[in-house]
Amino acid sequence: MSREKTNYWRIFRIVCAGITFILFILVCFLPPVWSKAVVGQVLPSVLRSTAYFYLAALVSVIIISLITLLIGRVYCSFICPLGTLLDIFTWVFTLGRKKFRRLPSLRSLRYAILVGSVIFALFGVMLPLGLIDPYSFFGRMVATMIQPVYIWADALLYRLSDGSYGMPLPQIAFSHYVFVITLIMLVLLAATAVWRGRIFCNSVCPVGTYLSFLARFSLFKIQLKGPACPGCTKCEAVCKAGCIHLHRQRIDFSRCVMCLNCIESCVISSIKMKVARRYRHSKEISEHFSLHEPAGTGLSDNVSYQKRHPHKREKVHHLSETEHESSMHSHLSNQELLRRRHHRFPEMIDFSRREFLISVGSTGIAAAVAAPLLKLTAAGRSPVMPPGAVDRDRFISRCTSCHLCISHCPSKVIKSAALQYGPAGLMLPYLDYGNRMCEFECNICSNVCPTGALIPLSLKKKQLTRIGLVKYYFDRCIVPRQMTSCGACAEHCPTGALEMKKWRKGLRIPTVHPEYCIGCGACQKICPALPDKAVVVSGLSRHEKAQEHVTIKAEAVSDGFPF
Amino acid sequence: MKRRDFLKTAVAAGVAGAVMSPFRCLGKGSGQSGAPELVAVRGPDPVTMYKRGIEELGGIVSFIKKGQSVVVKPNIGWARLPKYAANTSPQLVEAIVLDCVKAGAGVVYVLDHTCNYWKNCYRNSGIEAAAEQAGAKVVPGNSHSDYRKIVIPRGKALKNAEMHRLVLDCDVLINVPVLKNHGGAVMTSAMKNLMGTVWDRKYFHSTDLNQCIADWVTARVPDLNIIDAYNMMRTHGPRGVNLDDVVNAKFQLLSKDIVAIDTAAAKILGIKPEKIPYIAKGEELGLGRTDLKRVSIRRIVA
Repeated sequence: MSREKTNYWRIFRIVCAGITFILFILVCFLPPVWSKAVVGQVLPSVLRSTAYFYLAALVSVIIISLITLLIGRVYCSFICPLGTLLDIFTWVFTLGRKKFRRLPSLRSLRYAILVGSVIFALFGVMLPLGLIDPYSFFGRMVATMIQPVYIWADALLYRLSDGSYGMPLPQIAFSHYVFVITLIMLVLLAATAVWRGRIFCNSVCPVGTYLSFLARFSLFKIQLKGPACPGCTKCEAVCKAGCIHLHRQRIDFSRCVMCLNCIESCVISSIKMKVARRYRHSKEISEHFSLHEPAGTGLSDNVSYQKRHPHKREKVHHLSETEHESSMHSHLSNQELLRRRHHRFPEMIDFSRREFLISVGSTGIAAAVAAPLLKLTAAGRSPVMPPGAVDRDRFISRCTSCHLCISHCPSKVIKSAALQYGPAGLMLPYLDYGNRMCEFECNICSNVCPTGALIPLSLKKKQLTRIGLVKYYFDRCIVPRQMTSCGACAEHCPTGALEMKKWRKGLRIPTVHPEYCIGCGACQKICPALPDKAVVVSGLSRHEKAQEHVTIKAEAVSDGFPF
Repeated sequence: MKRRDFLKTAVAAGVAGAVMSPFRCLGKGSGQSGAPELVAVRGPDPVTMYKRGIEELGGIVSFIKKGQSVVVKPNIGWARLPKYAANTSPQLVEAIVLDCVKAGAGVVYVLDHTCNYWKNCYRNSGIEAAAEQAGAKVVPGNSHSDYRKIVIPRGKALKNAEMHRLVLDCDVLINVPVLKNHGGAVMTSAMKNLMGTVWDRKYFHSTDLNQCIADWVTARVPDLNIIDAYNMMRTHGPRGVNLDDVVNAKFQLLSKDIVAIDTAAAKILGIKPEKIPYIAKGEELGLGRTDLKRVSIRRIVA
């Protein structure tokens, strides 16, 4: 009866995860308005809320936090696209027959990583946090692995169908090294997923760590019910977070990703979501599992013992394990499995509080020292940043490289940086004017940015935002070099910053009005001069406001015919 | 109401064209009698001017046979709204397409190799919607796979280049530029508009732009040129900065002679035709005549 019920929960979870997974792939392909869906992602929304007031992001973070405080890390199994991807990896590579194992808590590791990467961000380098943020990784993966395939497929379809299908999309500015970085990360993630399920979510993922902190205080928690448990270990085998400790009859709910598999797996339906209580062990449980331990080290006393002697905790535990193992042989056959597992996986529990603080604190201090040094490498480098970035230092400290702007850029002029910003800005978007330009009638990038690294600009405002400045090189220009007409640059300039002025022999050469230049790169893209372009747009470390072009009304045409 | 009127006129024009078609053959050789070589119209809107103008040329049926494939090549170069006159008027393109369809064209394509992102250009110019509504196939010109390399035997600077396959394969090419001033080529009109059918425009700019423009026309001479100068960009062309660049000239030119029509267009724009080198180069290549006194012109106020 209850099995039926829990089945529905699992189906519900899979459907939700499937929908969000597909949605977060599609946000890179659907019209830009769909990218608003990314407010459902924790880190981008937190960052956006710190950048400017955006109600949806704020509400989203609050709702996700409240849900976690109520029933745990639903986010990790229902919304997070990377979590779903990890589940897919596990399922596909083990054909759905993966038997999971109980995992150590790794609490110090995950807090150290969270604190370290957050301190990096606070000291002005978003790189580490962006690298491990689940959505940013996912978006990067879609932009560098799925979108190129889509574009190539479109081009192929267009060609094969003689033009009736597909629509020639601009070729993506494919970045090989981002592809390699993303591929390496993907392979590692797949390997960890196949090896230990959601270990990434409970050791590296900064969002997972934040939610695990909240889940500790959840009102409702998944709990083992107690005496009737035959110790079949089925729940441990389906727990991808490895957070069920059947032996001790406890679930580390801070690590539980709410996949709900254990509820379904329990043969006696004794795993339930209930109002959390302080963990208690009745004598019956201890007896049931024959956890006869020396006085003072029994499980029921464990907590109080730890409080008194925190550093002795591990030792005590090992003692109890050994005790326990020796007494287990004569008991339930199911316990044999448990025993072996324990043997192979000596229980690792949390470090003591002091050790925890030392490891997290030292990581934080190391980050606080390393971040400013890393940031120094960006000094003096100013590639053209997307409109809305405002300032280079600000951009480096806020962009998580989710590459949503790259996915949406219609002219694909936005590209992932190698060392254009220095190592601190690895994978950050920048504009490459080699053979592309920033479309004048477009303000998509700043409006899709989910982290607030790009501040949304209206079209009018974007058209007056100077993201770079043009420089004209007379000696490279076609006109003086070949004494033929050209004017491609002025032709494409949308603001009139480049104008063809009379020169000699009836020829015209470009003149620059820098006050009108917005650095869109139209001139550089089209300049036919080789090997070096005669008009080059260079980036600014801080965006400026360009002047609106002051024009004179063109002379009207007289009546009649001039010929 | 408007559409009905239009249909009536179009049918009338068609009938007139059909009736006149036997005489057309007579007039063709002489140039002075029958249909004029250049029609210049002034009128209240592009569609009215087109209807009057094409009537003078014997209707669109004198250019299209039943079942032929037609390419209408407007200027859709920029992602700008019609009021800025950076692109051909969408109403004019619509009227031409409707006319072609009515004349029994097998298929009418509308395309341009745009300067801005093609989807934005097609949308913002209003041409995509208007032409599709009229029954045209609006196709992109920004896919390299659509271009085929051709040899240009008459070319002086341009010996070979890649042309859009539809332009290359079509039976009838109708060139529908918008008249604008041009930073590089001084003026963009009929001859310059055909740069929207080549793949590599940078080559033109880096290799004697004016000669290349003239050479390129020899590769595929349009069967009819219709210059939209209803709204005309006089300054900051070809893209324009704002509405100050645009004047309401209320002109339209129609001709088979691409050199003569550009010469006349230059005069409308207020530029001496001698200042536009590619026009003279076009005449050198035998594409038409610059001496408008020797061209039969019909001037109409619609």
